[in-house]
Parts: sequence; structure tokens; C-alpha cells
Amino acid sequence: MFCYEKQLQYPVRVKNCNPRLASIIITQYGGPDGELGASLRYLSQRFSMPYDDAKGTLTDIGVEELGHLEMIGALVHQLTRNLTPEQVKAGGFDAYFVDHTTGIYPQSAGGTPFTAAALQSKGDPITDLHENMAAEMKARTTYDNILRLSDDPDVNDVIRFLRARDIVHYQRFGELLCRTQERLDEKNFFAVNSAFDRKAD
Amino acid sequence: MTENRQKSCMKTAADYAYPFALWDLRLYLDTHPDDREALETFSQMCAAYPQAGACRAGNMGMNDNCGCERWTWIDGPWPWEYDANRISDTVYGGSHRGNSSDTGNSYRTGNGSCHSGSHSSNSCCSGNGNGNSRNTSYMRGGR
Repeated sequence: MFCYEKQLQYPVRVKNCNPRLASIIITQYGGPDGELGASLRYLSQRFSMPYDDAKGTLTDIGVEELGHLEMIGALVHQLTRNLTPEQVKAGGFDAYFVDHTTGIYPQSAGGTPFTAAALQSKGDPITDLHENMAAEMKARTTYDNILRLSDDPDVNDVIRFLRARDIVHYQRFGELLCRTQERLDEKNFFAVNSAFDRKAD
Repeated sequence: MTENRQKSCMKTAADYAYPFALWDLRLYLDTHPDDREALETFSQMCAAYPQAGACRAGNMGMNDNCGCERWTWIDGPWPWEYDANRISDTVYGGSHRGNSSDTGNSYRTGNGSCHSGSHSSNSCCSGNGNGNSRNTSYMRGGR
């Protein structure tokens, strides 16, 4: 089940309005490498993991990504506070604004609504862990790109935190991959799916 | 909201730092459940900041009533598995035993105690060596 802690994992305090930046950052809310996709990917994969440490790690990291989703929402919300229509137009925010005003909607920076097509839950532990390591790197690159485009220190502080967390998650999944491979008979590495085939152990 | 109330509601750095540190440590403990030093650090942080959600007994795997020897949060069965959803006979008054419903995906921790999905305090310190994640039975189907 899911509980909710009424506090962000890391504080978001953005003083300046910036709808242009908001329309970029929204991509980590509903875009292909964003937090929603990451969370759904991990929370879905955990069902088919045969190992307790994988179930625990995927659950915990999946939950943490929901917390990050909330932080991205907070960023976009604070960047679009008290906008005038002129600011909307000047910030190139009009296309988003016409459909969502300053509401938060899960889409990519390019306007593609959130889709599970960008994630996979393959039901094979080795495959899934590789998928997750790639996902964390994609997210990290996206944060790198946001940092290239943003000069707001309040925003960048939060983005750097989220970027660092993605690197930590990458390391955690890498560790899980090692542990998973250790459990398998070397000859069977790619010959069996330990979540499905009977002779894996 | 009055100015005064706003100020007294304001958080300190510790309100973010401790929950975060505890969270990061739990990620480590998920893959290193027997690391005594990490468990000790977890205990110490809970002593310093007991209001963290992670520190409530039986809530997230840490029981402060016993000197926990391992991180039992990861122990099966997990809620989506059949075994986690069994309800004892006394509740229904009928016989609902059935190992035959074992689909091959049932997971036991090896010590026979009932993990009902919440991590009850008295099952925390299973610490008998065969309950750790490496030896958790999986794929032990009846087939």
C-alpha cells in the first residue's frame, strides 16, 4: 500500500517566474525519461523479480521516484506562479497554457503526453536491471541538458540534487545486477530467465 | 495564516537532512541487509531524529526494541504474493489451509513465522542465518 509523507524529499524554493524554463522541465514530469516513467517501470518490474533484495530495491526506488515526480511538479508550479498573458506569450508557453493554463500535466517538453511506450518491464531480471541502469542514465542526461539551458540558481540546486540521486540509483541497480548474476550458474547466464524458468538455481 | 504561525511551521535543515539520510541508508540496506555498521548508523540516526517515519517501530523494517541484526524490510513474502494474503483460520472459522495453491511463486523466509505483510515487531530479529536474502527460497514450486 502507499503512504504519503507531507514533505518534499528536498526543498523547492523558486523565487523567479520563468515559463520558458517550466516548459522544459515538464519533460521530467511526463516525458520519456522522466520520473513518472521511472517510477512506473520499477514498481511494475518488482512483481516478477525472484529475489527479495530486488523486490525491496525496486519498491523503494520506485517510491522515491514518485517523490521526485512531486518535486518536478513543484518546480513547474513555482515557475509559473502569477503569470500575465504577456509573460506566457514571451516565454513560448502559449501552447501548453492554452490546454492546461498553469496546471501540471504529464507530457514531454515537445508536447507528447506521457506514454508507457518509453518504458519496459520485461519479466527477466537481467534484462530489467539493464533497462533500469539505462533509464537512470537517460534521466541523468536530461538533467544535464536542463542545467545547460537554465541559469536560475534556485532551480539548478534542485536539478543537481535529482541528478545526483539518479546516479545513486544507477549504482544501486548495478549492484543488484552483480548480485543477480552471482546467484546464477555461470553457464546459464543468458540461457535462462530466473523469473520464469525452473532450473535457474 | 498569520506571520507567527508561518514562522513556527518553518522547517529546519534537519527536517530534510535526517529523513533523507535514513532513506539513502535504507537503499543501501536493501542490498546489504546484514551490514551491522549500517544498521548501527540507522539506529543512531533514529535516536537523533525519532520523528522520522522510517524510525517508527515495525513501520519500515527497523525495530528499536531489539538490537536488530539484519534489515528485515526486504524479507518475503511481499504483498503481491499469495502467501502474504493468507488469513488465519480463526478469522473465518473454516479450513483454508492449502499448500496446494502454491503456484510456484510462494516465498518463505525459512523460519516459519507469519509475515502478514506488515512487519510485526516480534518477527524482526529472525537472525538465524538462513533467512537472509541470498538463501530465500524462490522457484520452489510444487512442480
